[in-house]
Amino acid sequence: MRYLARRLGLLLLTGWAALTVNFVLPRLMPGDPIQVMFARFQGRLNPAAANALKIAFGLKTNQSIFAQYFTYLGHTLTGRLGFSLTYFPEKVTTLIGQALPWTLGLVGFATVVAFIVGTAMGALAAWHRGSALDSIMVPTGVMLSAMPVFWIGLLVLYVFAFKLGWFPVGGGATGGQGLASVSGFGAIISHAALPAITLTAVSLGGYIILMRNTTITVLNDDFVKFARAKGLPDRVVASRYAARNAILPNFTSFALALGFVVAGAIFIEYVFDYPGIAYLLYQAVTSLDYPLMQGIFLVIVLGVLIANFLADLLYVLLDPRIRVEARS
Amino acid sequence: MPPLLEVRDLYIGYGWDERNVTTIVRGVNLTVAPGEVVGLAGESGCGKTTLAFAAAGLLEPPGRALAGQVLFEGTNLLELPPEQLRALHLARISMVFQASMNVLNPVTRIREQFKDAMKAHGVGSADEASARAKEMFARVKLPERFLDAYPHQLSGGMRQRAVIALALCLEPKLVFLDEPTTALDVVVQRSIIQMLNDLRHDLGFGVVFITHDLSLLVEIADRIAIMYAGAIVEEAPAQLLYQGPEHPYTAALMSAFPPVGGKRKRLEGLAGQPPDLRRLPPGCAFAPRCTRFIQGTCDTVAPPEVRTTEGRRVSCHLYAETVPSRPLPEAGPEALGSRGNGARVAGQPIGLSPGEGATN
Amino acid sequence: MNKASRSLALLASGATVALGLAVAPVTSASASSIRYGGVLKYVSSWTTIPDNFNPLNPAGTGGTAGGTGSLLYEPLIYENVYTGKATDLLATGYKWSNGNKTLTLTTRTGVKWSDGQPFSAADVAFTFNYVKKYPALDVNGFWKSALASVTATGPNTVVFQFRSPQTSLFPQIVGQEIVPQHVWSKVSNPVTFANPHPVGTGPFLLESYSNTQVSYVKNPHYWMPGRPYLAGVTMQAVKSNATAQLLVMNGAASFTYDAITDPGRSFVAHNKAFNHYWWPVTNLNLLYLNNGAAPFNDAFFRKALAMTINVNAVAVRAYFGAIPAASGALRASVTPGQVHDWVPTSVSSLGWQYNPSGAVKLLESHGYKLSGGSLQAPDGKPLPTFNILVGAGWSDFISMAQTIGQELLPLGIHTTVEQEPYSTYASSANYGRYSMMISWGNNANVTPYYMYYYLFHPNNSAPIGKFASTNWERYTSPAVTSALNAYARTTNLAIQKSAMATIEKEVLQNVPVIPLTGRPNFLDYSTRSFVGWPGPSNPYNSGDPGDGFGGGGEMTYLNVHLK
Repeated sequence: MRYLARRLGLLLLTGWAALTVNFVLPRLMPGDPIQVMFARFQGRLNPAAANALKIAFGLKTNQSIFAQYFTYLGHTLTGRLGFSLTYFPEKVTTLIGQALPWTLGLVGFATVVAFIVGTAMGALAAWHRGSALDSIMVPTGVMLSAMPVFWIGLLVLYVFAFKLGWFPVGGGATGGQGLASVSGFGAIISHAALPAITLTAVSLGGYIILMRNTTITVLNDDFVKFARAKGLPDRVVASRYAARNAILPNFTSFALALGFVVAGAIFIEYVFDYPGIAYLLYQAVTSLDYPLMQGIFLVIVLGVLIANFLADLLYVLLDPRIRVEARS
Repeated sequence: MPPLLEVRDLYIGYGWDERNVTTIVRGVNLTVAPGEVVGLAGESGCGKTTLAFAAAGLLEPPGRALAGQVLFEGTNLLELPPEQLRALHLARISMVFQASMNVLNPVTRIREQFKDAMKAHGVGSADEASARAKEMFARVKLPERFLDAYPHQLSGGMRQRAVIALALCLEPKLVFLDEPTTALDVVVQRSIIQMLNDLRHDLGFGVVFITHDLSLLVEIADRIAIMYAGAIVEEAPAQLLYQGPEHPYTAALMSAFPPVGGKRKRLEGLAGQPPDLRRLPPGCAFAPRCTRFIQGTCDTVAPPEVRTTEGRRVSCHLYAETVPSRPLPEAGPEALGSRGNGARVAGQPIGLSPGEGATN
Repeated sequence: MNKASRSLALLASGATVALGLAVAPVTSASASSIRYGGVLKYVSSWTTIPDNFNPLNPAGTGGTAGGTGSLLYEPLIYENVYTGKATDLLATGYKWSNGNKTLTLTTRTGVKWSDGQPFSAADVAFTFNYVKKYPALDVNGFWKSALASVTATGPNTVVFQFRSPQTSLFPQIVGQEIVPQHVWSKVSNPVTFANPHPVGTGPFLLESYSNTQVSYVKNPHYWMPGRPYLAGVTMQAVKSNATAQLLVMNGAASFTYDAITDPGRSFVAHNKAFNHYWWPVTNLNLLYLNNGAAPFNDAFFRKALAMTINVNAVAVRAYFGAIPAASGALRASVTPGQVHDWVPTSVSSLGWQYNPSGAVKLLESHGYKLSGGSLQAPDGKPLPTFNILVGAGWSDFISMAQTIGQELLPLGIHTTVEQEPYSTYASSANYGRYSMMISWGNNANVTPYYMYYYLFHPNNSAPIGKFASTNWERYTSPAVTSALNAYARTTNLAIQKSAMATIEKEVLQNVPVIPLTGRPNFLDYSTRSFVGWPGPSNPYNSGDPGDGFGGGGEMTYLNVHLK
């Protein structure tokens, strides 16, 4: 329990630190949102609008920095992230809410698939070490994980969308179709296919190699030899002894990867015009939409922190050696 | 009575690639009778563990049998289909590994490791498996509650008892003990050896006991085989071997490991390194380190195996018919007198000692 | 260009705002040659089309739903920023009286809101008073300036009372999009109200919305006879300008709004029969010189810089010939469409001409010395290296700055290009923390007054280190200020023209800023399926598909039709 409390404390502490950094950073920038708006409109916004915008955005410039900080903390904790400057009067939470499912769906799916398939392939390669399977899978994995994601993305896009026309060129789904309708769902799948394949391909390699190498190490461990000496079927040795132990480091990198889903998605979403949160972040950055940027950063940071926290918890379940530490 | 295990002219190579195989066990013959304890001794890397794995039918790539037979109760394990071989393991042939952190699966409870072993051998019901595990824990004098512990929660000695309990739970006929006490401290070592002896008396299994500690073997083995560079260079009843080692290597080994409780004596040690198995010297493999090296013979001609007395064999030119037999000066009579006495630590109870307590 | 589509533009011509001679819109169109129907597709690079149909939205990035609000809501009069011409929409006439403190507008009869309710002057009065009630909506600052009251005095008459004459507010007043009182009086928070079921007077009705596509269908009861020709308009958001351009080129869409790099080669050349662009200049890119600090506080020094910069080279390097240089009359910081009406020929030849060697002489006559490739100030010290401030990554401004830097070298002036991100850039301009800066004119509108007002009026100024909203170069002069004030008080075109001429002379003599190139709207379209686009021969709007700042997107949607 102390372990849990410590982890939770750490989560809260880092969460608070992230919130504070998120508060401080935009304030280190010169200029306020109104100036940014004017810069963005490049002379096409009536300067008389400044006053209206200040009221609309609820900017209280006469508040002390501490008062602003506590207002910010209060608002953030209650999920009030303010309005986007680009998409006013859309709320930041609404925009994130619209974009996040796309990213979680696409990248989450790809990451999970890459983890499962990569781990299985790595274990298989290790089990059949030296076989043809092994000697194909490992160089392929190395090659895939070494290639830049946008490069593979463009390649895949060119071949399967432009040349062969099997998949749409970009976007999340053809416009106007809701998530709910059946045809809409088909469109979503066909639009997500290429980015998902790309993302899976590039992250697959890492899992294959890591799993293969740890499995080979584990296969030389005494407990695997002893398991054989116990006359256990190969299936049991491979799964409950070798893979079950070899998966631990893979699981750590998986948990980290989950936290970086958004960051990792930027290239993919850009290349494939995918309407996810990474693309939204890109837009927010290019159009200086600070409230939106802050909101997205918050989501990313919390994502990383929570993924790490959950990984810690899950690790406790997976590895009894940690569990003992956790109890003490 | 037919032998329990008979290894015939076994050659084992090591290598992923057919063309690049290093032979690490060379023409070994070894017999174990039911209930008999055969010791296998030699320096690290001499091939004794590989021989044991092969003899137990547990050899796996990159290791491979190149020639010879391993007959267990008359069946050649090297030709047995994997499924039948698997059925023999634990049930008929078992193995206890050198005590280490990692002999037991670190992520599952010990009870689980009993259960999956017994399930693999047809003990379907969990209750029956649990009952058997409980019984075995009692035999190895471990408190029952540790059945539900994870391996890391046990001390080294306790873990090794658990491993022994697991290895013996289906009452195998033949048990390979591969340096079962090497990593443990002396006190724990003794208690485990004692316990193994007791179990052997109760259950009546044959043992192949592998160690580099010759003095330990002398205490518990009926017969001892000495391995050097992948071959058995001498084999003799334990007593006879101890009284008079014939092979210069055996003699050197014995001087390196004084019996526990014996008089203080300067250790001769073993000069030099074991040979590179990929580039064995011509003639006798031990020749470069041998103090009784015969120029022109030992470095050119492979030594013949000579039966010197009943039940003894040695592969050494010194005992070949063309070479006069000479007395061996190394083992003095005073060493004999200590045999068997100082071996046990007096008054040491078997069971939990402070050093064996649970770590948590 | 056929007859019917031209009629709107023809009828819309001939009167300037200040004269109050706005004309009636299309009355009858001989529609025989016009093909009705078709859905016009507009593609634009928006990540997400905001779910907002509120025409009063203060942060309106071109208004509503990705700038398509002009299909739904209409202003009183459309004033074309490019030509300065007006087209009556919800108003049919107006009159200034009471020493220019009263503006009386006549509203159009027979107009119905899309929910069937009649439109009246009361809706106009309501809209203005609504903006008064919610200051966050007052993006034109009506109620902070001289506007005192807005009242509907009859079903078709609305009266604007001013505390003091301020005729210069006219384009903003008639450009206000009007909302129905019977709907908006029930809205509790109009600042963040997304208006999901818009009720307007415009030519189209909202059909469907998703955050990547918004579709409109023809309003069958639209008041303008025979319009619109189109059955519908669809705006699709794509993720990049390149994608949008591609979709127009392959016929999947008919137009986009994007500053394509070298459009002649990368767009038109792909299919000369269909691909066209019209980039009418409605603003200028200016080299701001910080008049508040030496050596830029000397008019002769600024003039010498102007004489050394070849703006034609600057324009070509930055825009590949697609956008004109600010030469000739444009040197007075006016847009091409304003030259004819607002710059007398006697004025347009004043000031400097491109003459690098003359510039050296001019400086030498004031004690400067060119020595070893560096310019020495009269006190003998060489001038420091000056920064030319541009926005980070703005390739057109960076090219301009590099070209200027090279051209200033013979004058012995050394520069470096300094790129700053948006917010820093804006802040540097506001607080005067720069030597030279390339930027745009602010809020350019139908006459030169507006760009001048924001460039030079003390209302927008502050000393260096204090916040100046738009007087970034820190130039003010009593003559210019009084001319600006004179313009803003009168409806007399002659007085306004002479006020502007005064300012033009001032800026040509004193060179507070150096106009570099035009700054246009970027209409890129295809005539594969639709024709009737605005262009040089028929500039019925300024090429902006959006609804803000006189873009007049509605005009495009009223004029374009099937081929």
